[in-house]
Amino acid sequence: MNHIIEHLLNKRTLWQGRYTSKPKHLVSSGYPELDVQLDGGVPKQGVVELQTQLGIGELRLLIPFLTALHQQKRTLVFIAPPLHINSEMLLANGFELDRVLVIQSQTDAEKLWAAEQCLKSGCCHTVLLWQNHLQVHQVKRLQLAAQKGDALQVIFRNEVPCQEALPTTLSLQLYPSVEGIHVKIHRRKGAWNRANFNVNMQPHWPELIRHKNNLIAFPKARTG
Amino acid sequence: MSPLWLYLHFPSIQLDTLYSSEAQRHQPIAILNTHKNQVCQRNRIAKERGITLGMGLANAAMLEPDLSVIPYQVKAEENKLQEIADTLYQVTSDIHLFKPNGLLLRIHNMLNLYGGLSAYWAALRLQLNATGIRYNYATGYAPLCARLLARRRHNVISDEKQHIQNLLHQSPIEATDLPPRNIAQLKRVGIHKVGELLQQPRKSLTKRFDIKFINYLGRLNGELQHPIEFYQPKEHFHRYLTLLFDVEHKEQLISPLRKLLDDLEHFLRFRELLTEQLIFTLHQRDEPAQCFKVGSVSGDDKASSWLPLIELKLEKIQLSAPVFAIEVEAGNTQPKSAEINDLFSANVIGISYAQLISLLSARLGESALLHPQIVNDHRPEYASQYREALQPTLEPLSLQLAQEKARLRPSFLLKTPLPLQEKTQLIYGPERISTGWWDDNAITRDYFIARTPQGRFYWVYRTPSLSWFVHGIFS
Repeated sequence: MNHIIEHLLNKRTLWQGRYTSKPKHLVSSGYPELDVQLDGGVPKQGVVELQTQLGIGELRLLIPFLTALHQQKRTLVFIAPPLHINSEMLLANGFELDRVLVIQSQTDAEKLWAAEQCLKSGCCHTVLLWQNHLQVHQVKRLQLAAQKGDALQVIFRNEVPCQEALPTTLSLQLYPSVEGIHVKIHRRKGAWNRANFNVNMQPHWPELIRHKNNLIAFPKARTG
Repeated sequence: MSPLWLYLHFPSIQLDTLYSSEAQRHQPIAILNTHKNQVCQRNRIAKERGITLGMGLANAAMLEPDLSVIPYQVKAEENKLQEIADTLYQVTSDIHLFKPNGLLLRIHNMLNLYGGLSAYWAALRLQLNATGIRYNYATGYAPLCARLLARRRHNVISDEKQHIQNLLHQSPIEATDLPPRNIAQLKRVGIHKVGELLQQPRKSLTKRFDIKFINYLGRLNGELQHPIEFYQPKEHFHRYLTLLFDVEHKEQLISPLRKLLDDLEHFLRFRELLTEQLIFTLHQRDEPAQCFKVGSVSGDDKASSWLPLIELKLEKIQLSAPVFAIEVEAGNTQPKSAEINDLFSANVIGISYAQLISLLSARLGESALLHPQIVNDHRPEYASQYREALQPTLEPLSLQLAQEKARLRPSFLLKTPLPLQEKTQLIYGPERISTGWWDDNAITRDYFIARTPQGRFYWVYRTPSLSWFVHGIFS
């Protein structure tokens, strides 16, 4: 029996509760609910996967966190964003535009290559990547690059094919909810999954909350 | 101090500069002067097989069917000679180029600096050996005397006047630069050595030979000055490397490229310079040459930083024919400034932002790297634009304008607004933007934030004609 446990430990399929390797460097996400669930905040090094639809607040969930990291005088990189990144939004949230880099690249191979180079360069704090198809070895490479450059890789995916879990540091699934966003933790390195929970975006974006009393009557018109 | 000259003779520059891989070292090679149809240089293997200098092509080919014959290119030799002069310029100041294959150095004024002839020669030798080109050398009290002895392969470094003079006097007159006609005349009267010639009364020689002959003797003896123009090194890196064999696969270009980059690094390091761009030309057999440029934003001198960028660039290049030569030229150079490396910052292993941009643009192209920027315009589609990361930055926005811009705006904008076709609820608005009357794209729009039943937030607007459009998405 002991023999089997030892074997599994060596294969790293089994780990002991007291030796969990929690991500060391956490930065507050700016949302108390999320910080509580993640034991203090979002890791600022590693690979974070967000499974989400476009436009439900997935970027806003990260913005207070990214703004905090942006104080480090390092660069924020967007790779293959689905639409044109709005400079006014970046400016309004306190990002210095000369330290924001947008990389437009067509093929998946080029996107991953660019992400890896940015991560390991050490001059970027976060790389945001929009890519649906990922393989285990690709994520592992990104992990190593992130470790080398002390950077964070965030991957936005909307169609997640049925496959084995990727070796990410943190994997969240996001759903729209009335007061903000509904989060389900899929995977968290060195910790148990917890229940689903809501994140309240009211303090940061009061205008983007659907209340009972903020509904505006649709002006009568035809659609374009 | 009496003048002392050193002449360096390079008998086989072209042969020694051919790029060859390890496997090709055992191939007999001969350089053929096509005008005279004579072998003028050959490697060791060819020599062992009986190929001699001055042999005709037919003879040589008969002796050694595997012989690879390369036409002699005087231009290539002269270029390389200049490179050698550049290298030697690091240790000695007065260099004269005896084209195509000799260098004359004025050395008596360098001896004090080095503390003697042997120390000077040791320093010079170090540089010479690094070039990998074979050479013969000799010192002399006159430029032409040193030249004669070096070409006779005396390989003598001495400042004893008597010793040098003995060597000169014992040399046969064929070793001089005199025209063959004069040499034949002298031999007919029984003069075979330079010493015998110099002992002849000058007056009788003047009667029988022309002024050129007399001048030459005077210069050889050191009685007359030989006019010398000293070499000024160029501040520009340019190299042309002929490949011994045509290269069809791009991977095989890497190692000759590495050799060129090592030269570049050496060149730039001695001048304390960095270069921002390298221009490569791949000369292809029977096809137009391919040119490509590689840039480094911060400027670089190290071969190890340039090589990965070049490898990325090469991936995109298709060779249409075998490559027989590589040319490289350095673009703008800039003085090296002291690098500021913070020992204690976390980023000790990484590269600088400029290096990252260079790396990314080498593979993805300059147009793929963008910085968001703000233009002072109230129309959202004009206000938010991209500029290429390698373009110069605009003036930063004034603080007041920046604060004014700090309004709730969507994270993504649609390139062209699309008609709103989903059922939505309006939750915020309206914000009227009515501007742009000065050009043809005036707008009057009431912006709202709308939420779809799927939970997406759209930035929608209504035109005066009450049509609805989606212009952005709040992610």
